[in-house]
Amino acid sequence: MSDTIKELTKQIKDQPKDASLWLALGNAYVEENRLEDAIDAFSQGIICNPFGVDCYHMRARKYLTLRKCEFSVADFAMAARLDPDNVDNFYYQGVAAYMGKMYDRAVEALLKTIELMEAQHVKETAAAVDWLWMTYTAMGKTEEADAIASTIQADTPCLPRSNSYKKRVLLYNGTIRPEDFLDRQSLKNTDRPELYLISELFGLGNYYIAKGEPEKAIPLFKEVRDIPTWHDCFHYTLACDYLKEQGL
Amino acid sequence: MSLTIAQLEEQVRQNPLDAKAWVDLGLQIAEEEQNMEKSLSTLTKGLCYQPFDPELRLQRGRKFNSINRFARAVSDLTLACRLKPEEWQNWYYLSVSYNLWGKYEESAAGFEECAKHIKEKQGLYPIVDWLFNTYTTLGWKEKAQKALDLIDTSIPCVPLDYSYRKRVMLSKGEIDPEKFIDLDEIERTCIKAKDRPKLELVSQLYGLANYYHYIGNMEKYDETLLKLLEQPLFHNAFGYIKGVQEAKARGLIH
Repeated sequence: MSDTIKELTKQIKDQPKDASLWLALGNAYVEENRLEDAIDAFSQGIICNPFGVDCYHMRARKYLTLRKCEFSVADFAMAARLDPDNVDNFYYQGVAAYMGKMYDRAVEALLKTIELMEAQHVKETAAAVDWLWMTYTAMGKTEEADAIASTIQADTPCLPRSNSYKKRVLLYNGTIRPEDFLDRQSLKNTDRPELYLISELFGLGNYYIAKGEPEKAIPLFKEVRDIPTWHDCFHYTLACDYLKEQGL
Repeated sequence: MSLTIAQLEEQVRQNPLDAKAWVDLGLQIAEEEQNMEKSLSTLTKGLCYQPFDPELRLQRGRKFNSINRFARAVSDLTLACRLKPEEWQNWYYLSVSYNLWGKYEESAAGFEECAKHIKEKQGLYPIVDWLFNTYTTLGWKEKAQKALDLIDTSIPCVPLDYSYRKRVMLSKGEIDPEKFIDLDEIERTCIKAKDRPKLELVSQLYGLANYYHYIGNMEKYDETLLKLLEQPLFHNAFGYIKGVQEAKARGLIH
């Protein structure tokens, strides 16, 4: 048990109804990768303050890490009601809903994400647009998918950490050709080369599946599976799930 | 006539905002398939659409108890009580959750609040029984005795509360513990539903064990706990969960 956990446990004994202490304890458990304990700690924070947003938000994020998607969506839905100005409550709700195949929830949450990002001048709409394109595509709504992809252009401002999402959307709307999509050399110069490679390999493979060429996705997803790091990331999970479904 | 699972699934597909439809589906899955995880998942999907629905929070809280996730149960039930404080079931299951979790003072406080929201006296049997159990666990014998005075056992109970009434009568000394378990009586008296007699037996065995504990007959307490643990069904029932907890505390099982 870490010193932080020991100290927080001691403080909680004296102040058991302090939701902020339970939140801190939950975060300390997360640091130790004790995710079920973290979820229980966040639950105790909710017991202390059933209308406080932070514990719902953090519990939602840890349910998502554990891929308990509907539990994540439910907590993000609550967090979004309590704090409707926080983009993350909608963005991650949309991601969790997509991962859990709750596509109608994903559409609603991701549309709201884009609306909020634009209102708050957050330069990451490409990420939400990407997830929304994937959601519409999974629902068979090709017109809506094309329409949302067209909202991102080459000169659309974007934070560096969302560059891979932007590239994927430019692929979907035809700005980048699939054969020109992967630039492994340029990824090596980023701060998280393997994470962005996973994102782009998955994005390209998923694009091929959407275009009726799933055989082109297989080697890309297998390459994702072989990357030794970032196994917690969403696109790693999605690629591996697809391969498993195909019996590969 | 209740709808089938397939019909209920179609209902939520047609109208996912219908909280009652999700509750009905989640409960039907629990009843028919005895699959608590699937029931939990279903109720949770309802909360994705209606996070403030107190009935969904109540029912999901109950299902978290079935898988021994008490902090998560209490977080749902606390919210249910805040959203609909006049609903006695919210306080009841909150208090049961606290008891199962080992937080007996919070449990007792919850049952006291619950009692205020019971409209008919005959509805008090489960609360009186749990209050007696909780107070005796806390060692508050005077309060335990006073709890028994909340109801006169000549008042008939609703059929669902048959075992709770028997347990209260036992606690009041109105039934001989040696004659408490009567399988023929259970069969005759309990509600007519599949395996219901087995559920009542679990409930009554726990009540009997608790009584022996209360009067300090530890040999009979242990013996009855072990008999309870031999029951093949209803391991999600509160009496069974409590039985397992107490058997572990006694070192009877690991």
